[in-house]
Amino acid sequence: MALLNIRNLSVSFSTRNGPFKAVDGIDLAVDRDDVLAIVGESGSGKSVAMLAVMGLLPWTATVTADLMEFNGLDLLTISDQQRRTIVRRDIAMIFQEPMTSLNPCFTVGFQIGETLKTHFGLDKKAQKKRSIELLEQVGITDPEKRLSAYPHQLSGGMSQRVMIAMALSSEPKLLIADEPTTALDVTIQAQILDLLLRLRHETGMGLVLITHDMGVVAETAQRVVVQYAGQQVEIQETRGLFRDPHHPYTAALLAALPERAAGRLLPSIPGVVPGQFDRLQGCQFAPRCTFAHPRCHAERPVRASNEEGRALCHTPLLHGHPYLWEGTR
Amino acid sequence: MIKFILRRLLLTIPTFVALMFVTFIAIRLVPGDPIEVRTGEHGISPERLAYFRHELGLDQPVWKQFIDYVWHLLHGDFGVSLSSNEKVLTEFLTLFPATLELSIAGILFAVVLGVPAGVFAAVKRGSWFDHTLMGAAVAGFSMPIFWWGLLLIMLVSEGWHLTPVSGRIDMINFYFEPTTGFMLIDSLLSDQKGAFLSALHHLVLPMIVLGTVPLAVIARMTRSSMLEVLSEDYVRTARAKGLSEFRVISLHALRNALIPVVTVVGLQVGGLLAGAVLTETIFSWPGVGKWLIDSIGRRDYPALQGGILLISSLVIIVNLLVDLLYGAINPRIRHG
Repeated sequence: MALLNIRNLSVSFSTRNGPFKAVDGIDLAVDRDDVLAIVGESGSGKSVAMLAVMGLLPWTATVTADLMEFNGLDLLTISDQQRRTIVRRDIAMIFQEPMTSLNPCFTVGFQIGETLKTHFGLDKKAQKKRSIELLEQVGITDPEKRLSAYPHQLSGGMSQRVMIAMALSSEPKLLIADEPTTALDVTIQAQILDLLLRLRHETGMGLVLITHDMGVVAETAQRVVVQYAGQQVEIQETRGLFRDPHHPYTAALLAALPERAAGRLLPSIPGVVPGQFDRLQGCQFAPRCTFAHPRCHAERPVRASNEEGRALCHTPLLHGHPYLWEGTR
Repeated sequence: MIKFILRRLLLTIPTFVALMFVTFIAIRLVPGDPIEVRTGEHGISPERLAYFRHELGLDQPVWKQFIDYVWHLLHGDFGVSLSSNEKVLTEFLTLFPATLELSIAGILFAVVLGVPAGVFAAVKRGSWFDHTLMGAAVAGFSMPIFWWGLLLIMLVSEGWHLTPVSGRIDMINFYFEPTTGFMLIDSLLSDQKGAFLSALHHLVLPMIVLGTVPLAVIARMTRSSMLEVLSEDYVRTARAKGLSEFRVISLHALRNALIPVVTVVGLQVGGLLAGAVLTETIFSWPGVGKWLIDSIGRRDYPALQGGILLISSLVIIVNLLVDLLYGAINPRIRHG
């Protein structure tokens, strides 16, 4: 039994112009020791799915799923109290913008200490001792002094380290990192990723890494979920995904990586992602897909088997060539 | 920090000069001078009028009077009230505690009700409570103070006989020498049974009347500020940490949302003193506001000039204090 188990998760937001489905049928499972990457463009629903797990979506959101379980707890029917004391203790989350994710009115020490107090009831002295340990663990120099620093006195990379320390303070079984390096510059990005991987190794927690950077995926993840327009188009082992992508979108993404480009011009995917309110009747990727045929525009694709990366495609690719699999024929 | 305060104090000098000038001229533009007003319709012989004018220095050219006034002021002399023959400063200080007591009560009333109401409205955005509160806030803000005061007196005092109509305490049953000037404190110190309750009883209505406009402003400001803060990333972080919703709202969100509210409260102090003038007049509250209104009627030049100047300095000081308090709440703008 996996730690986090999600089957057919959908999230829709009620907006002034009617409901908008931000996440449309996601399946995934994460175990302890797992590193799962979720890749996709902005607006592909990667963050929303994980916020749904944490119960952090605004009230306009409706979450439905066939199954959404964490450590045997049904996340769909859980009480607010359990969500706070169990789910938000055992799953920690760090966010894209470290500079705005820390409360500007409170010191670093206060913000870490408060988590320790909430979940473990530590007193002031113990809080301080543990906070210093945590800051040391995430590689912050002079931790004792940093405890009395306010967020505006920290750099972006430092703030993200503090966020990570805060996430670790509840000793989570699973860490969800929502584009943790997007707002940071490149050298810091590498440091933060290394840190996350080291901590995952040290603590044995599972890690879900939300990113839009294929490079990050290649370096860190064991398995990858690819998201497109709210849908999960493929899930595969990282190595397999890079060697033999089954969904045309994944293939096109990989082909657009600078290190894979053969000519002088970088290949790109023509067209744009369908907007919130012009989701298509058939396959969402059809207008941009080089392999699309009339059926792709008319019918919603069915998931292929595990061997084909559960690709959401009428004609998944095998070694770069589309073929008709049994379910479709 | 000290440099910051000094700079701010220096910046107030032009404000004071302008204030002195404007009040000085404005009072003299009102027809009738102190002597004419005092003699009333009986009139006075021209010789006597000239004699008294000479006594008070009113026969001098206005520019000379002004320089004279500033000269005395620079020596710390606010002059002597023409109607009571008491020093203006002494008179002001005797009356001021009454105004201060009323103002503090008014602003406390506004903050204690306004901040929680605003927070609740923001959290329950779009609910009937939110709509009712915001509607009431517009009404409260637009209410003319004297009309609102009279309305409450008619309803609460006359109609329901719940509160007294005027004054600070029941003077028939209680009498004691003021020690602090604050009726609530003095009545407690006096050891007279029921005195404190009587003082409190007298304070309720003026407090509500004076606090209504700030209450409306604070409630609206808190709501909009809170709405903004609730969508911030750090509020999501606080929730993700597993904190209780109460702690997320009342600590993580409110602390940030209060920053603009404190500014507004500070700005309300000026309006509060203006409101006190009307409120004191309606409720015969023996404070600075009523004294100033009476002084206008008596053309008591020194009392008016001194009183307005002293009140203005208070507003300026309060604004400075608010700026400093701002830094205490918001670490990002602590003055180094």
